[in-house]
Amino acid sequence: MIPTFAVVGQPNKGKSSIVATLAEDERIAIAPTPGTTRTAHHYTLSIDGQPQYALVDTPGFQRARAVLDWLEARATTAQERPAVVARFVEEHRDDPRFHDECELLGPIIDGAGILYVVDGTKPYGPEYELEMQVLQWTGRPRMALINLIGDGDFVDEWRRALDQYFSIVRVFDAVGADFGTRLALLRAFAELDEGWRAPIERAVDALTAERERRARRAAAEIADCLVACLGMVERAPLSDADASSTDRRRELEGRLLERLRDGIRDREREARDRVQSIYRHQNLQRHDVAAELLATDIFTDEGWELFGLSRTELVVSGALSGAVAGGGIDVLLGGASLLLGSGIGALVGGAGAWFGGNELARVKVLGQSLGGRKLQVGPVRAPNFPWVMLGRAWVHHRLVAERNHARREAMSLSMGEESHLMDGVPDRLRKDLAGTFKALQKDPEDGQARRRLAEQVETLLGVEPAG
Amino acid sequence: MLARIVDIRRWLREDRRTPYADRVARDRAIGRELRPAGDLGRVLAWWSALADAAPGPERPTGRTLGHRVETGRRVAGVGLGVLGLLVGAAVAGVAFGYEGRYPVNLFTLLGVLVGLPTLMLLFTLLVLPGRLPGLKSLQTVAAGVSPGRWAGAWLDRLLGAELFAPGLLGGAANAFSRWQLVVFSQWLALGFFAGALAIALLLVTFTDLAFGWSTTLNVDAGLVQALVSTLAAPWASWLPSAAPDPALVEASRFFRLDEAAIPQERVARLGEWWPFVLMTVLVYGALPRALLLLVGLWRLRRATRSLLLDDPEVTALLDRLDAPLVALGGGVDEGSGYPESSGLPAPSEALEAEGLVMLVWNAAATPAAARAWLATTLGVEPEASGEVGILQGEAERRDALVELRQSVAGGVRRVVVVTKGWEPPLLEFMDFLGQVRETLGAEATVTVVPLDVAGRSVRAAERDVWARALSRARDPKLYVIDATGEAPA
Ligand SMILES: Nc1nc2c(ncn2[C@@H]2O[C@H](COP(=O)(O)OP(=O)(O)OP(=O)(O)O)[C@@H](O)[C@H]2O)c(=O)[nH]1
Ligand SMILES: [Mg+2]
Repeated sequence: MIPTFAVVGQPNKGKSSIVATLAEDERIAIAPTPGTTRTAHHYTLSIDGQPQYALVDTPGFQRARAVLDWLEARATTAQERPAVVARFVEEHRDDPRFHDECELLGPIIDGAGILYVVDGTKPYGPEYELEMQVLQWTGRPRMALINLIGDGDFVDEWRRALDQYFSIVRVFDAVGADFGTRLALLRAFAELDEGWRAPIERAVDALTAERERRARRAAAEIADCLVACLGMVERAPLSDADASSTDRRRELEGRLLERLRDGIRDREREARDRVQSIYRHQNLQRHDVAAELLATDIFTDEGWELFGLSRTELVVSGALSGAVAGGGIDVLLGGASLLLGSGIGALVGGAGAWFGGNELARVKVLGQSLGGRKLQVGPVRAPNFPWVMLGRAWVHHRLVAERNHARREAMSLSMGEESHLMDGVPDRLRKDLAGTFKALQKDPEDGQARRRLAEQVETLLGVEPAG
Repeated sequence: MLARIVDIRRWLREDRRTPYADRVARDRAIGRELRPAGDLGRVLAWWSALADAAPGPERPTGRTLGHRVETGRRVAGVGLGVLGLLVGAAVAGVAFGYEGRYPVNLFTLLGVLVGLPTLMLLFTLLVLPGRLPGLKSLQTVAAGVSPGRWAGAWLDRLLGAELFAPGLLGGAANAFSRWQLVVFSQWLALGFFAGALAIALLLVTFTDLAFGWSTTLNVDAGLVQALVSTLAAPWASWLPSAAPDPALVEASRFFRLDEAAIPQERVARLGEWWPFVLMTVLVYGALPRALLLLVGLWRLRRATRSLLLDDPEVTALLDRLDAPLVALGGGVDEGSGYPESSGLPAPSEALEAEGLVMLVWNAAATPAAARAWLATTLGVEPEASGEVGILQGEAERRDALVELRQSVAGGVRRVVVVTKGWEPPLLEFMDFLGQVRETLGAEATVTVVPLDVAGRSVRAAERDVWARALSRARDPKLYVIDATGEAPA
């Protein structure tokens, strides 16, 4: 059997929160009302389908006294006690009075270790000893976790009492625990039983590797989003009427600008969702404010194209093909006027491309026009744009990566002064990033720069943001 | 291969919408079964192992985009070749045009058949190295006049695949489109030379051609001779007939004003130029193109592989294939089983001292503190009070309650139970309330008073928890004190 840990205790002590934290499960029911968990649920960590350990979330003790009375009435020697507990569960399976006790004792008599949870911010009371005794009767290895739900501090008195019944007593803040604390707690579990060490160590290693992988994936997502936003443009055909009236042109420009802003916002949102889903926070709500984009930061250009060729390119190619044809005519004429023929050909070809282009541009093939006058808004040229975008992504990543799955309130991403987000970046990395941004603003398709960016973002994600 | 690569890339792009956990589980399940192979092999094997039922976008079937791209590319290649063939034939037909009056001018002929194509070749080479500083406009022109680029732009438009044209002068990621452009251009060029050579051979076979050279410049035959023998050097040793001797060069000069033209005995030799012309076109025109085509095809293959392997989505996929799947279990969506009822009301009338009994449960407060709270908050003094708790046995508790009842002469009318407001209301407390009701009488009102650690009334949220929990008792005379501790007036 794999190491199994039953998380038990009174209702509302944060049992489910601890399981949610360790199992990174945002769907476990956690609520301020006691009795939220109704049945025992197993959360098994497996590596490639190989189970390593399991956590069992259980409902809390409701009638510890009655259970203890029942047990004491039936066992005389200490060595009989575990069997009597098993008998209790067996005989009360269908007794609604002891539903919760059977749920929580069941996994323990099946061989689970005990993680007994109390709230160290509330005073200790001797009535807790009843359930501690019941747990002691099971004879299973056990550890006590002092969770910290409120503001009070009664940890010392809890410790003194818990030391009587538990071989290991630890303070563990279910909602505040970060990744390192979680791993430390897992390692502590292994101390309960010699045979549990190896699988727990494997699990810890796998979780550590998985964590690195997540950071790498998140960095790739963030880099992707940055590249997409840096190169994002909105274009629309500019009809002759639009082009001749300043108002209409401005209106079209405004529409395109709006579309560009939306596009960037959507792309950013998409990347945020992806990063959250990498960290198993799919349903985490965010209060997010879109980045400010000023119209003056955005590059606007009017151009003309046919088959994706600009007018200059088209004319040049027209002239050249004219020249080639002219060369043919020269030959026809006996080679007497090589330059003249080519020259005339080039002129005719170039002029044809210039004047004929408009006509050709209006031609539609398979419903698509071949080209024509275009208005393009974007890409964003403001030098601080990539820094703001990256800074926002960085803060979000940090919040998500450190976010505990027992926390259920929405995450707030209000980020104060956005231009100072990147203040904590080491100089060297900042310089590297600046170089990459420059390359990407010049050419968003630059594959090497993209790869470099992903690596640099990964480095950045390992750095603590300032403030 | 291109077809699959295009399809895989597109599919992976759509797959980004699939939840991350599902993607990881799906791909690792396949990845564990894959035999060790190179990255490309593993991705392709993954693609064929991917089941239709697996989570993710629908797999493309039938004539997928990839197939259309591959066909389109083939059609474009063949089309360019045929176009080249026709142009080559036409140009050669004109260039070899010889009406018998003057011989075909070798300068013009080779200029058209070798010179111009070489110029185009240089243009193509200019596009290859990616962005060259200072040469941007020239590169733009070179790319603009490239028939390969025109073909690529057409294909992209037709297929709706951004594959052949984007960012032509861009960085490494565009290696594919650049090499494709090179290959396209070479098909056209090879077609051109094939057409030209075919026409030349036809004309040589079925007509009598005469070649000569003529120039306005004051060039002596020696220079031309040097030029010709340099050109013919590669084949002079094993194909002497294609290497004109000085006498032939000397004999082939003509002037168009020279009415007498070329003396008859010289004319007989002028046809001897043709092997040289063919070899020059073949070696200096077609051969570089053929070589460039080979290099292009080879590099295109590599670029096609990197098209796949450099795709960030594919890198992520490889990661998913190789990384052990860490599953954390769970995923049960558990609704709360807790009653959503509004909970028990506060007592409807002010508590009076008459027949009032106070019970302190589980040492929620010292009796003195509890009395003080009753006196200050409710202004009443209980007639009797006692401490009970779960540490006592059930019988012990009953005895205590009975004793209390007997100590109230006029009978118990009201009971106040002081509890630890910071603890959850447990079922054993509900059991105790049942015992109270049983022992102290069905008519008495029972008011639960949860206090906080400092002995004050609990806040509304905690009161609410108690009120809801105790509503499960369905006892009409059971109340939870109002959060302020005051009964409504
Ligand atoms: N601030 C803080 N709140 C916590 C912590 N642990 C639990 N809580 C809160 O305490 C309440 C109860 O937590 P649960 O995890 O549902 O407790 P439980 O022991 O599973 O409760 P039942 O399922 O009802 O037995 C929830 O409102 C949690 O948000 C903690 O470490 N810090
Ligand atoms: Mg719970």
